[in-house]
Amino acid sequence: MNYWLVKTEPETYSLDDLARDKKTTWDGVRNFQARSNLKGMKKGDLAFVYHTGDEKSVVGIAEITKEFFPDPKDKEWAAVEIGYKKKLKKPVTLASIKSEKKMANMYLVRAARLSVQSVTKEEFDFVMAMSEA
Amino acid sequence: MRHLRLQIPNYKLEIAHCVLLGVKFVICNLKFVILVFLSFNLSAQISQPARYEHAHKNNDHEFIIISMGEQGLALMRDIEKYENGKKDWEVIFLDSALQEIWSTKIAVQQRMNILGHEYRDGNVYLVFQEPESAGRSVGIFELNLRDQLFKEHLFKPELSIHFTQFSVLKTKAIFGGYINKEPALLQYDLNEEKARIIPGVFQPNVDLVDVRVNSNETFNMLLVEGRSNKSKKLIARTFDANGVMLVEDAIAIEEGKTVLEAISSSLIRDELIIIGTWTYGSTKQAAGIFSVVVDPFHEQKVNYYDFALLNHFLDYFKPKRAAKIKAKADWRRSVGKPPEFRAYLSGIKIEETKDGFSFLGEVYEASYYNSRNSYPYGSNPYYSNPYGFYPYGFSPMPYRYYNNPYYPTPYGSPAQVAEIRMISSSLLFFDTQGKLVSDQSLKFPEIKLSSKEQISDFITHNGFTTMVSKDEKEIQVKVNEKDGTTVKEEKVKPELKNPNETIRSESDDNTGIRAWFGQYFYVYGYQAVRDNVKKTSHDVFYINKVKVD
Repeated sequence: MNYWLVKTEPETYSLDDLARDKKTTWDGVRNFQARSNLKGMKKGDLAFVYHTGDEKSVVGIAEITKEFFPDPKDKEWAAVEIGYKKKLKKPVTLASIKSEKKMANMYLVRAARLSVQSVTKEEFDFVMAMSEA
Repeated sequence: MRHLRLQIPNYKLEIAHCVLLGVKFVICNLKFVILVFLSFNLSAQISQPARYEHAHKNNDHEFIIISMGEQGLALMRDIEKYENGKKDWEVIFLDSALQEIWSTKIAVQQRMNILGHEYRDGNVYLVFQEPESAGRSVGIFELNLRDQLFKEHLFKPELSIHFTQFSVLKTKAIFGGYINKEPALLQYDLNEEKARIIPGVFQPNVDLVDVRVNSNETFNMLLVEGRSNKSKKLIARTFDANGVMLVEDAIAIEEGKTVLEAISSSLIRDELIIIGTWTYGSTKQAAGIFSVVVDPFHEQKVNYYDFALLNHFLDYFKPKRAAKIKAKADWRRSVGKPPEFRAYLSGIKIEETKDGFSFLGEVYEASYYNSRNSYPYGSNPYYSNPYGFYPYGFSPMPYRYYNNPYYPTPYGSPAQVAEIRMISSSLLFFDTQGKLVSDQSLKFPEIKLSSKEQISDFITHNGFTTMVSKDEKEIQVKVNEKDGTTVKEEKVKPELKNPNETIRSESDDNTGIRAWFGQYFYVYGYQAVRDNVKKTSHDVFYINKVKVD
């Protein structure tokens, strides 16, 4: 299983919206690295949902329910379908992740603006532990 | 009549009462004004707590000064001593009290010229390179302040690179530049002593405008794509320390507009901002400032501000002229015409604060002469002179983009700068979304240079901003509130520490002032100093520590 992180502006589409919708098409990504990551997602992979803007926090987990397909709004780009998995016990902020030395290599720390990022299992577990601490 | 008569004394009483009230009001307000004035003056005192002097003869080379922040300053100069095909350079380290803590000599291949320098994590890196005719080998001296040791690295790039940028990230030296007019990145591993070209960077019709190391062990490369096309893009790439590209973002530049210069922030804040100058047509003069926060979650709309939109940018003109320019610009803006007023503006630096970003730029006038026989680029790094005194140096920042082979004639024929007249410093504040909040300016006295170099700087302290510059004899100080309201202006002479001495003269060529760390600047130059007791004179290179309280 692979782990990912997808970023969203909560005012546009939040984790609560995903919880309400159960599933959604994750489209609108217009960055080449992010597109490559979307294409690398496999059914059953888990993805952190990260709220941008003022929140800047990992807030929940989604599951990849459908592997990549052309973005309905622009066939040049890719989209996936994700399903709601769970809300984290408490949000894990970017600042708290940055303050952890062992997370220095996490994409979120090195290239925060990338909208779809890969996450290692160690990073995934560490963020989960942070959310439960 | 009676009525009038009765009224007259009442008037007198009222007038007397009003006068009394007025006096009370004035006294109260005066007290307030005096309090504010006193409290401000107490909080904007300029002092010079330390001075360093080094004997300097007429034929000595001048020092290059490298700020190490709170660790102090490193000074370096060619001392013209030759042995075994090498020549010696002197390197002196001063602590933040300007006390000498280490002095050493490095022997550099005789044909190599200083190309750049960097301070990072306790090490000073000095870069030298042979000229093209001598093979273009590169030498990097890595001087470790703590152990007081240095190491020399020597390598020859496989391909001939015209270097324009240099920085260091962890154990990797990063060079930006051009190979056959296409941007290139070269990485030299200081541990493994291996150089490699970072793949995937070559691209025709692209200008490299910035390479900057970030606070999170990554670095940014900033490119402008589509030099001569209608569809132009600003491309921000972020790489990890191994040169692996982590993310690339492309931002469309509005049709008809051209980006002249750009600098990126260094991710001290989470957002990456790009600020620079823009124009239209093929002119070398900027029409304004642009800013954009690289954020794929938003429209990534570039904010374009023409100079007349800024509150203080035009302060170097007489008020009537400034008002006329503003009025005309307002009208042209309202009818959708591009701004008519343009100026040469070079970006100096971006600072990141809790409220957003600040950008310092300097306005200048340049007179050019064209030469078909000159170096085929607009500005040869070996002859463009950021320090004003070395004919071959380039500073890794902030003039790195002055060594852009396409600058200052990105589209035109090669041109050489004949004279630079420095006019004004412009300081802009942006919020976290990259929107302009306020601006300030500092008009320079008459300063003429043979090449563009930074002559002003600023620090923020206790809610105030202190902008400074240095002319031949004096430090020009202007203290502003954040909205640009000036609360204090003064001129301060660099102080001598020996009461028996007086300054006879000071060179106007090689002097300057820079923000150092916290509330400190350092001012430097060359003076002839007279000892009034011994009745002798001596020439010195000096650095004074300048504190703003």
